[in-house]
Amino acid sequence: MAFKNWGELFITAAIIISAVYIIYKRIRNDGNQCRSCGSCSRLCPRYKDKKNKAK
Amino acid sequence: MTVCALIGNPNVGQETFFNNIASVQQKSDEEGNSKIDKQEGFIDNNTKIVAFPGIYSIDTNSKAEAMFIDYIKENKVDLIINIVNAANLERNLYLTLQLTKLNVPILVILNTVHRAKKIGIHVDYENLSDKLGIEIIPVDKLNKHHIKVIHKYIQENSFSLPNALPENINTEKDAYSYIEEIINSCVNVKGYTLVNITEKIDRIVLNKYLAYPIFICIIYLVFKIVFSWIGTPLSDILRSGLFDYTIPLVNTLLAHQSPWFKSLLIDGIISGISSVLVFLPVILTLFSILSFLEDSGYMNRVAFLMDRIMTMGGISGKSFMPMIIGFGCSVPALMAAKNIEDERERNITALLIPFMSCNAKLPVYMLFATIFFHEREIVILALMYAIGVFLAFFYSLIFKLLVKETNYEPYIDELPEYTMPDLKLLLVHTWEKGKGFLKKIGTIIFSMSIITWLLSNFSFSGMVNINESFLAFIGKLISPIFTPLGFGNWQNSVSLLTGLMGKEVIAGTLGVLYGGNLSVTMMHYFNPISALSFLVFILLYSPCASTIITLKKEFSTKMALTSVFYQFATAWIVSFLFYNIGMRYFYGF
Repeated sequence: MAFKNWGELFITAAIIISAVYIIYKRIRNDGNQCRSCGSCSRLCPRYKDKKNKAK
Repeated sequence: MTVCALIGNPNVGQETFFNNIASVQQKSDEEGNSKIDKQEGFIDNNTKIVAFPGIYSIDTNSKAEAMFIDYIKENKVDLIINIVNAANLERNLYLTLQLTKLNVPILVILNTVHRAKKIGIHVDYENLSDKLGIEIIPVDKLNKHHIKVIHKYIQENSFSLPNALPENINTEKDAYSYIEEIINSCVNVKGYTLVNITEKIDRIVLNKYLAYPIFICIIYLVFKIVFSWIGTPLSDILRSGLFDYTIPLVNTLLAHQSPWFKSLLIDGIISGISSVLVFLPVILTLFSILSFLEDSGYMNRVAFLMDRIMTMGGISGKSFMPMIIGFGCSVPALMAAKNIEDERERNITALLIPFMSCNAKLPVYMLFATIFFHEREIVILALMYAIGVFLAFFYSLIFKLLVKETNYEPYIDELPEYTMPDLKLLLVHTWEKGKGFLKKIGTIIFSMSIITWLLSNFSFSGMVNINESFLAFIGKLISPIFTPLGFGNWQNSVSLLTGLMGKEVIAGTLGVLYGGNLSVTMMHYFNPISALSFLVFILLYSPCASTIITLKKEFSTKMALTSVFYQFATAWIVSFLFYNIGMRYFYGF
């Protein structure tokens, strides 16, 4: 595997780090926030919290 | 310190009132496991306000009612602020009459006066105040003037106990007779139009014989619009744009880059994201129709229709609402299930929720339905939802047999009037929901596509052929489990593993592992029967990580583990039956 330039290496590293960070953050915050599941409804307790915060 | 307790029927605007009038707010969860909270805040330095969840009466044994009564008994409350909906006095005044028995001064905030007038209900609130012996402040949309008036009333601190009510109101019947008397003398009804229209529509929509056929027709129409008329055709255009134009263009632009870098961007990121992104039009169309149904008031009727069916399956009314939320996502559904007071009922509901087909599974259903069941997408989608509901029924009956009988708690909700949804609001709601889907694509699908690409292109010896990669090694290790179900190759096994991060990730993973246009590549790995078996497995197998974590956090580790294993076993058995019976029936072996 040959790197054509260091730019590719940096971009790849940045992409991988951001991917790992997103997964870590998702696992850490699970259950504590609106799930963005698309069913925003007055029945959903998470959506209610989100709406209140927005106020 | 003056202490005010804020109470009213559910959905009368008490939350908005509290948010507008209280400066400092904090949630108080003294009920341990329960998620029924009261909120505390301050109107000024000397006035505390405690808002309680909406209740209809104080004579039943619900947790919300008990919380309110206990607070009144155990604390020195100077004033009860009772929010009353002017458009529905009959129901709201029942609670007001009951509050008068608590020997605490009451202030009634007569809410939505303007809206009541609009539908022909004119309340003579001065006369009403005299009849009840309670101070009444009429408001519509709470503004600064109203807050000033309420504030002034509280500051004057000249509260007096309700003093005009007859003493012979002892039963529910007495209370409603007296309310009727009050309404006759204080409420002038002129052209009760809107409610009349609502009643007329309900007479048909909730008719004993017509309700379910109408519901099925509406669902069919929704599916038809989403999957045949608007959503899928737009998805096809987007798919063509992505696979026929965007990917070749990026390929050309990256012509001089290293092959591995090109593969990361095209086979990893773009393929992974595209395989889910193509369903954006379908999702947006579905969300806009669901928003329309919700804003129009029909969804509340659906809740009642479903309640009737679920009760037949042994699922009580209180379990039903969390299960409906489960069609969106299991996590908020589990949070809602925490409101169920009976522990056994609560746990049973939590174990049934993941069977509801959540929105995350929709892109995967669509992916397979469009490839293997062209022109029959609606049947497959409906089948998936039906299997989930049927299994929830089935397990509900089994659980009821295994555990002692639980207290039946009815589902109570107020049916709103039918309204024509505002187009602007509808677009805003649809965009809000679509934004959530795009956010998922930009975060979890993006991340998992990269991780999948990385693990499917590398092994300890560096960059290798996909069949010798880390992922192939893991996939081959677990694939024998799925061979009897008809999808035992390592790519499918791995996608089920990554699907534990979120079910929509399965579509992204298949996009990375099979590469290119999935409509073509996946034909080599599935036949319609194994595709259906795979979908059934996805519908039923262990819930995603978020659900497992929520089950552990909000219920117990035992519950989380139970859910993972019993769902996996159920998925395996049902998929096995589907695949083997299907193969024998359609292919003769």
